[in-house]
Amino acid sequence: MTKVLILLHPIVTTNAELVENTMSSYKSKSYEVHQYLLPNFLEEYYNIETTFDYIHYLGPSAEDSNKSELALLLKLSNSLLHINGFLIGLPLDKITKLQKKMFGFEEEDSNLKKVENKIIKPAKTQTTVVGDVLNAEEEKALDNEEKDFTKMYMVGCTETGDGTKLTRRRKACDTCTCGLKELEEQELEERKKANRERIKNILLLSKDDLTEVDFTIKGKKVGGCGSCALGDAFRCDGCPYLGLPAFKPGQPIDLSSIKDDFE
Amino acid sequence: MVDTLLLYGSESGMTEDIADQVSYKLLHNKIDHVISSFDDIDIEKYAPLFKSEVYKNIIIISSTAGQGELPLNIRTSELWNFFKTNELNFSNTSFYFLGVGDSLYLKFQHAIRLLKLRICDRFNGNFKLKMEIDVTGMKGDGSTDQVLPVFIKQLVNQLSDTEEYINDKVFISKGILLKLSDSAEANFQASFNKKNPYWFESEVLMNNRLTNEDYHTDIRQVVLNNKFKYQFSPGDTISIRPQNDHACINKFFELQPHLKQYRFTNVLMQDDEQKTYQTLEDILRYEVDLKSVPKRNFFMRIWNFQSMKKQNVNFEVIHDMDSYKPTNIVLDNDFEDKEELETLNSHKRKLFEFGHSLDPYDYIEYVVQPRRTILEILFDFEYIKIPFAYMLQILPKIKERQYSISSSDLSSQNFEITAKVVEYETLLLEKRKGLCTNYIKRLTPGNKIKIKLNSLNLWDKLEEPIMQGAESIILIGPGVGIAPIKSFCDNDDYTMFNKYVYFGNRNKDMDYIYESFWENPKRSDIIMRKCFSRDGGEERYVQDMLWNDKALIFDLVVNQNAIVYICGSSGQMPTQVKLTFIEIIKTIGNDENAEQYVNEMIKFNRYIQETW
Repeated sequence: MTKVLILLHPIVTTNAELVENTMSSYKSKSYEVHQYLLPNFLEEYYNIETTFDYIHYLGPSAEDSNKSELALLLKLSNSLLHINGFLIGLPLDKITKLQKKMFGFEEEDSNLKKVENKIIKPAKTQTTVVGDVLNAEEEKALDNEEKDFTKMYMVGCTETGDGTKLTRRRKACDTCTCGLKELEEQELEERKKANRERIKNILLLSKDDLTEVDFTIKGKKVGGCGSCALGDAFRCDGCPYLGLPAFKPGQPIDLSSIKDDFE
Repeated sequence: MVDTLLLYGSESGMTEDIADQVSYKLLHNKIDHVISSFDDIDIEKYAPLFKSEVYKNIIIISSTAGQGELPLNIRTSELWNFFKTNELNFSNTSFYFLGVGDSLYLKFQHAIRLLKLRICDRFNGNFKLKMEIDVTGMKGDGSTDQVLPVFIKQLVNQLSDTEEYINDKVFISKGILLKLSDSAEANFQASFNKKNPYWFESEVLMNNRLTNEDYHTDIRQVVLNNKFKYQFSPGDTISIRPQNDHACINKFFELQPHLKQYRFTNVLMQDDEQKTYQTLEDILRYEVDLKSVPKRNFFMRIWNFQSMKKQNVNFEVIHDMDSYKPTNIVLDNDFEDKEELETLNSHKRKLFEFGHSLDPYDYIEYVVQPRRTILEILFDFEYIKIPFAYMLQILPKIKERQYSISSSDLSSQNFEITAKVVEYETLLLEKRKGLCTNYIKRLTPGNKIKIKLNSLNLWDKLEEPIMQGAESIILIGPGVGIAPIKSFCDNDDYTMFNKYVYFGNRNKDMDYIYESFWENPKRSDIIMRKCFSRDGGEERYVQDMLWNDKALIFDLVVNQNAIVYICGSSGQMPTQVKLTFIEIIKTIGNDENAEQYVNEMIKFNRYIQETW
């Protein structure tokens, strides 16, 4: 049995003749005709279990139509139509190509033909759609919460969570727009360059003897704290060996990974 | 029966490490608990436990991904689906939430808030606490180092019924144990995690260098076989879990010679009921991230596993907190060499501080800033002897990385990914190299690897703007950010969009990747703008081009409801681009509320940012 769904926009209820004519044209073909007024349709949508061969929309003229309402109708119609079923009566110039594609329709004979299943109707048992994203109400509630969080905690970087003071200077944030990040990066670049030069020079001095670079022998250059051999974790700021691994007596420094830098 | 449950969701692994730090403190405060990521929960086992409210305390820690979304391992988990589709009663359960996010993104705490609504509020749970970490430290409740101690303190106050703290010298074993397997026939299973339904095998079909050979940056085009013909869409990603190479594993055994004896023997990995067999060599290759820059939780445990050369490490370990009795065992060795003992103790103190001190600065300076790896730390701290049995509880595991798919159904059914090989310098002499991108670089056609396809449903996100009539999209993707945009421009579903592509890189001759694709004269649905920052020329960056096109951009965005899609490295670029859009709307539209307009766009998925 061919099934037809007629959707009535409230505005056409004043045009009784149009509605009558549409209905009788289907009834005369012995089609099973269902009918909904738009607001009721949107409420009842989840309860409708039938799928139709035609959905016929009677609504205002193209100029008076609301684009997003039409898009919504397009979306909902997909799950109520059979494949190759038709959606009739939507003003086609108010529908974008993307909307047709998104909701599984193609234009044919000035009407819309369903060519693909796009939306799966949620199961009837779920009255509230519990989803991965916040619904409109929840978004609103969170919006109000959001306002409380836009205040910046001026506790900032100088204190730990316990309230005790941190002792070092502030680091620039990832999204820095005040210029501190550029300054830091510049400083870092300079330090890196100076570091590599310094290390190169130290190592070049013993270039012929690269396999026996033993810094623990007395007399080799050491920095102020005397802990150079222990590695970066124990070296002071002025240590000439910053950036090098710790020194193991008698063990050569493994330079294989950076050999090309010295060629 | 354990009645506290700690669940976490993490995408990059950072939140997982935070959850681990919380777990450590709970254990030492004698708060027994189950800890698991959302997707490791076996729903068959846990559904009845949730239904009968076995857990009186549930702690949930989660990052927020992308545009305010749940991290992937929550979204695709059975547990999340269970919470969404069941009616539960948690009126006797207390809830504690910790969110981790980056305030660069507007909805940077949405995940933890959504979790609270869906799991606590919806089921009448007792809401006790929520704190929000902003990794930049500017919003939320503060930075990680500011928030974590406070969160932990509150948890301990609420959950602990004793003042006792188990000394940090005691190692509380929880998680995977390694044992020598005495079984003659071991069943070799390549991966420990049995729940691998989404990972599948794929053959490498192509691995091309896209940038000029003489150029310092290597960008790879890698094509992976899609033999199961999975459907994928623009915006989807491929996950790859890299492996350590031989050199790295050899170095590890040089530094930890006491573990050499286990290298090629059958080793049993035991966790609760699960058991798998591998050799230690395999475990190091597939599971342990030796090249990672360790988080503070690594130091929280490793510091006490140090001893002088000829001696074994002496430490106290317990498997069950209730059996703990504080002892006064003196664990130190004969004081043969006073000087060496002094050095050993200073090493212990240093590593202890890196893990436990309230002030993170020393840890940041020694580990984070230079990007120092675990192998390098093992070299510097020569007294460390990692205990065989507890290795996997101490060393971090190799995490998967995601790469945007750059191919699409109009030209290929296979997965093409575009990845920049990471290599950079820090204060350390040896260059830093990204583990995964260098692993990808070594792949050759014919290699078979395990990958995972992540469907990120960009199409669904665009439904709202499309419903509102959007027909144009502005696609901004400098550098490797062009990858998902290329997929977008090559996809049948998206051919209807009028596409305005903005691409930028450094040198046209060196790194104009996919030039032939973009310069194809047959494409009339794409208008492409490009600029190269080191080539001279007035336009250097994508935001310069946007600014010069401001009349068009304004018309598209404000009059035509166009969608904006930005991809690429996070950092300066997305901020600058957003500021440019705001300026354009302010200038052309004479609109003082331009910033609000853009924020509204973000809310309704009209301004989408995919940055990493």
